[in-house]
Amino acid sequence: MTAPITTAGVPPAGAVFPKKSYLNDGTTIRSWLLTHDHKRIALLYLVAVLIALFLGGVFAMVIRLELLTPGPTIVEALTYNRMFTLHGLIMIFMFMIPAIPAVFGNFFLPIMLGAKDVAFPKWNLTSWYVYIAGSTLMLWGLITGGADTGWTFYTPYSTTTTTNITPVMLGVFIIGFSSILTGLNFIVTIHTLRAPGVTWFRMPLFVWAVYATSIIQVLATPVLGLTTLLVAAEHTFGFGFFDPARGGDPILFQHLFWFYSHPAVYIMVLPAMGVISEVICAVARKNIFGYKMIAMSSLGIAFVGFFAWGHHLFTSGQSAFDAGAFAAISMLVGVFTAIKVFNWVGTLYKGAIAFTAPFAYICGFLFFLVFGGMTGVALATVSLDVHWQDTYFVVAHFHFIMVGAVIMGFLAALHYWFPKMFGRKYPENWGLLAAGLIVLGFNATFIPQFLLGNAGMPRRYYEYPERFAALNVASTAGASLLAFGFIIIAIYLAISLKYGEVAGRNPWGSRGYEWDVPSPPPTENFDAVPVFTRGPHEYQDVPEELAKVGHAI
Amino acid sequence: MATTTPHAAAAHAKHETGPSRLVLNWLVLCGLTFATFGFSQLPISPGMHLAAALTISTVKVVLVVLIFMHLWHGEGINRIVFVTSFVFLLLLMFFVMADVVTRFPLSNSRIPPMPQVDQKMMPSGMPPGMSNVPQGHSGGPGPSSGEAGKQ
Amino acid sequence: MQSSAARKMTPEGWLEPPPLPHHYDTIENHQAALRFGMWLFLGTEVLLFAGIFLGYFVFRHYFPESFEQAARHLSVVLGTANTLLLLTSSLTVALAHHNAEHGKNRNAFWLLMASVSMGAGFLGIKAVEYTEKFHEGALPGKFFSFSEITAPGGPVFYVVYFFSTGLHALHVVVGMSLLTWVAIRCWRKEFSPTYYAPVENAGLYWHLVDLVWIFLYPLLYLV
Repeated sequence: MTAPITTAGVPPAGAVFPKKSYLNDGTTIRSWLLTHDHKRIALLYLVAVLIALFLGGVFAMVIRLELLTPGPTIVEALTYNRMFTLHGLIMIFMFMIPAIPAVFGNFFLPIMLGAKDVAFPKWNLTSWYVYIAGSTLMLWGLITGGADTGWTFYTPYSTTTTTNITPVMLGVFIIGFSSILTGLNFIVTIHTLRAPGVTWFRMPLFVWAVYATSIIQVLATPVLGLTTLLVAAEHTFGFGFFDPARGGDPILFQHLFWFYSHPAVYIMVLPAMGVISEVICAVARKNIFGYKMIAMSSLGIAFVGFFAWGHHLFTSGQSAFDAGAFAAISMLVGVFTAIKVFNWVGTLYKGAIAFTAPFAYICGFLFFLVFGGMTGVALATVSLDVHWQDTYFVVAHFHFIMVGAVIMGFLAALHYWFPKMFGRKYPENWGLLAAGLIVLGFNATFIPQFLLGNAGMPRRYYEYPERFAALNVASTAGASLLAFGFIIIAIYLAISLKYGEVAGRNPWGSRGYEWDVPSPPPTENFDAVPVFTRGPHEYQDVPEELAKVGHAI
Repeated sequence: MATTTPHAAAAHAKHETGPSRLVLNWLVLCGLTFATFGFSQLPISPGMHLAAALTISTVKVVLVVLIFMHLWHGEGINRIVFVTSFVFLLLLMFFVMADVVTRFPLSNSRIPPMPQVDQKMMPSGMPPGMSNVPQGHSGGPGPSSGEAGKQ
Repeated sequence: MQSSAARKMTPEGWLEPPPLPHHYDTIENHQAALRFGMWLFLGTEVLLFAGIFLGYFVFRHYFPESFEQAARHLSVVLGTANTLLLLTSSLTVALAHHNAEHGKNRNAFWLLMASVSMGAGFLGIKAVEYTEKFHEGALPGKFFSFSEITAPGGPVFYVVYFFSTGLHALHVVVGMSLLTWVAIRCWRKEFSPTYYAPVENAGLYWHLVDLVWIFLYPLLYLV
């Protein structure tokens, strides 16, 4: 039995980089591409989603630059339509859905459970290849076919457009397979590979969040798969399933599409919430407040979130009965989210807060989640939605949740776990500067969009009246700030990979299970089956010298 | 002989469904198939036909799942997984059917485009799918459709 | 999968189970994980078919007359024969599972091959039905030219019909490949009381194919 679990180590002065770790266990490209190690697969995913983030960001900047002036600015109208389609599809299917679960979930879930790997390592690797294949097909289809439907593929436009959307639909279908495989793997891992001592209510909250996410992935994604197949078949063969001219029902498409795509929002945001639960007690140096409530509210969001999809259909001809039912259920999501927010704030209260980059992202996360959530509750009110439907208000709302909250969670995770994943620290001052720029940039980008939407500017329009110009300029300026922040992060993290200070086992003085293995962890994670004798977020018995390690980096 | 090893004994104790029970289950399933067919020939209303067919099919599915797929003796978690997937299927159907049944008639596709309407006759700005709605629409389906109309 | 070449034959007449993956503590735990994973996958299959069943009920609600007319034009005899074929193949798969679990690999092999041939028979009958539909012009969407369905909504019925049976037939093909694969492994005597999860999982998949058809049969052919 090794002792890593009970000794949450203090960063020893002049920590040495471990000689053997998962990073240098095989250095050939082949050893990376054929690996079954969950940590290496996590890095493969990290590279892929960062490329996706870059691409999606570039297209976002093209959209913002185009909207800088009321008339045509840099691209033509049709190109603009293609740009927002590319931006939406890349960001959602290639970046946000796999971002936190497939990268940080893959890396830390087995370690947090005391397991050596996920339940089905081969399928785990397969899921990455499936993701790459699906993404390639989707991108190829988008670029050669020039799909201009937006990421929602609403029928009957998507089934009658002259652009070739079939490869795009099949690409989305294939990416869905990868998502199912990841979720399935995690669920089985959590059920069968918990080490002695890791009972259900001793699992780290990140694991609970990923568990809830995986349930959604497994249950919702097949419905999207069928929908994409139906749209592809309809576009290719003229089936008329969703075409009113042939007796089909376009609203049925919206039901099927949002049965996946609304829960998909929780596939993106729940893992981010899990990250926040982990990081918040490490930076506040306090036990998590309301562990069971946070864990159960994840499952609550996963369940209730499934039956809120109809709030996307308020103005589509859905019946008044369904609209009322879906509005009421949508409000319940707010209740569960509020439970989490209050517990996080309760955790911060009277904590010995270390003002680090992860903490800055937590602040950003809380602000964006509350602001985005509140506007979400407003949008779920049928009568208000009639006014805001398809305006920039909706765009700003879902960017606050999906970009604001999810990116904050992603960046918090990246900074908090960077020392564990690569064994080196990042420069804290640069981290804080970039975090400040990004939080400021997000607000500057999307708060004007709330105002634009409320004033009536519709989404996805190429041109707009003169009176919207000032706010659009502000939004574009904010987006540039945001891009600048990301560039800074990319630079200092890339430098830190090689030249960063050696982190040691536990630079944050965190009590999370994952900090008890070396940084970077060895291939097998643990020398023997670990036994966990305490919960994952317990700081009451922190040794005195550890309690002083506020500013870890 | 296989059953003499301790492993086999353990495996046997875990799955008690022997061949005779499998065959019996198959006979019952075949019987139920003919019962479905028999019911479909009875002179009852279409709604009753549907109800009878769905009930018998559900019984058959339960038999296959419990006996052939060993859920009767299987791990509880597998039962939860399967039941959950059906619960989500039913909830998907419930909400969509609730919409379809209570929808404002002009926004559904009940009326097919059998006679093509001349495009020039249509009010301008109307999408093609709407062209044939007014001619065939007869009788509002439900009370809530009226409420939807007022919005 | 693991090659059987390196594994020794036990006195009981089957190969030793493949080495346990390093991250599992017991073989039982590994088998349970494989079974659990399969059940989760079956859950995804249920929801994959959910959409098409939903389509059936939605369009049946819109076009009850044409759905009844169209059901009368499907061959009940062929449909019932296919149902019985699939039920019987499910029985042989369940029996194969039972035999593999007791190390009777040869029995399991023949039972699995029987299931595969019944699956092929199912596809053959399906092909006959499809051919007939093509000749009649009873086809989905814009290809629809079937004069005997007078009520509106005929094209939509055939979208549901072809999409559901087509997707199901695809699953039959996948199921047949899985069964063939485990049948070959049965022939090599790979399964034993401690290691039979592949037979069980392939069998579970086949039973699911049967479950989908149990619902499709009365909905399409009878009511």
